[in-house]
Amino acid sequence: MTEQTFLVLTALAEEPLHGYAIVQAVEALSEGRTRLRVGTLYGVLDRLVADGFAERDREEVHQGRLRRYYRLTDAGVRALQAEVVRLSANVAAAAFVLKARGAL
Amino acid sequence: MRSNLENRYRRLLRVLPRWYRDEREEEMVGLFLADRTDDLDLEHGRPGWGETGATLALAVRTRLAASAAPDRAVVLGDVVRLVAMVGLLVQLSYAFRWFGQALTSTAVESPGAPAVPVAVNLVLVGGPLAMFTGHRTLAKVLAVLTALYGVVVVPLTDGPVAFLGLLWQVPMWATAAALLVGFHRDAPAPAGRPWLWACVPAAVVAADFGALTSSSAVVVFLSATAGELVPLVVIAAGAVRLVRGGSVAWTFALAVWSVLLLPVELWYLTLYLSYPSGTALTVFLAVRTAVLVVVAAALVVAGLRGLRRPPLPVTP
Repeated sequence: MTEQTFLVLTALAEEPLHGYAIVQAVEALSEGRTRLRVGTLYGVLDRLVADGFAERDREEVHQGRLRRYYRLTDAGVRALQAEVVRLSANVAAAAFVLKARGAL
Repeated sequence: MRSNLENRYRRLLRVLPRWYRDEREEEMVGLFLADRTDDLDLEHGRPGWGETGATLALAVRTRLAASAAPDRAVVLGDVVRLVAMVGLLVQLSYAFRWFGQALTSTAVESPGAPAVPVAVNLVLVGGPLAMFTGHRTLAKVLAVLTALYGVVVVPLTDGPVAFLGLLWQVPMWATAAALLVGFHRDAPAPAGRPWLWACVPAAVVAADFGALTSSSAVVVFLSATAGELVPLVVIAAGAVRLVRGGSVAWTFALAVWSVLLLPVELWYLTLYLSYPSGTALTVFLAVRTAVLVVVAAALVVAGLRGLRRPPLPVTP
């Protein structure tokens, strides 16, 4: 799972979001390191929908512009859980090694 | 009323296929303009390079789709990916032959293949093997190096061999381009094992059959034909496809390769037409070129007919 996909899944885990809100949430979650381009965002969303990890929620019109919301599916929650477990194991292993060196 | 900036974004979105725009255009335009509210920007602003690049990448992924797209987009994507994989096999075959010639110093600058340095042959062999063993990024890097060699180095060669060298590069460029755009992030990894097995016949096709005989006439004949068994293999594969049927993507991929081999084929035919004593060879090359053209045309017709039927799944 790429970092972009991970961040989008995390953003959607809290509540259904529209595209602009996802971009903002990803930027906030990554502390400004990841700024999704529109083409990139829709590439990620297309893959998540195709894999069954996300689905369309509802549509709204805001200031004359269409906003389409996306939500996480149960499969998406499980995929995010699995990734969190994997990353946590990596972090724990790295922390153990650094502690042994006295660097943490 | 739409601002100039919105119109520019909508023009940019035309790189996306119509089915995708119908679904996403309004949503994407809203997102593009969400942060750009300044009147001056709306009047004179333009899409940034980053947004343009990301949209172009999305266009490649949707036009050459791997899944979750209309059948035609998936078939087109499969065709490009198969063109790349077949091209890597063709490249491997030529590289084996040129490699052998470079090592044994038997490379002839006419009428056989143009001399290619050993280091370049290593790259030519490495690219296909990297792809067939699942190292997609490495394969793309080596494909770019291969293409750069053809663009930068080959034109510097003196004499008529330079033109022949460039013609040999056309299939390499097509392979590199197909590899880069076809195997995008959403494209599935190709099944490596069948392609690795295909390396065996590719090596056989590359063999220097002229070494098996001492007859100079036969050696000359083979130097112009056996070294280019690839067109015969493509013709045979195309004929089998026409008789037995199969996936539309394979049919179009073989048609593309029939066309890609034509420039070199025509160059040799033109060359031998100027040799009054080479009648048999000229006839052979003329027939082979004609058959290649006929097979290419028949494959295109068969492919277009096949598009009207539901496509068969393809795993390159």
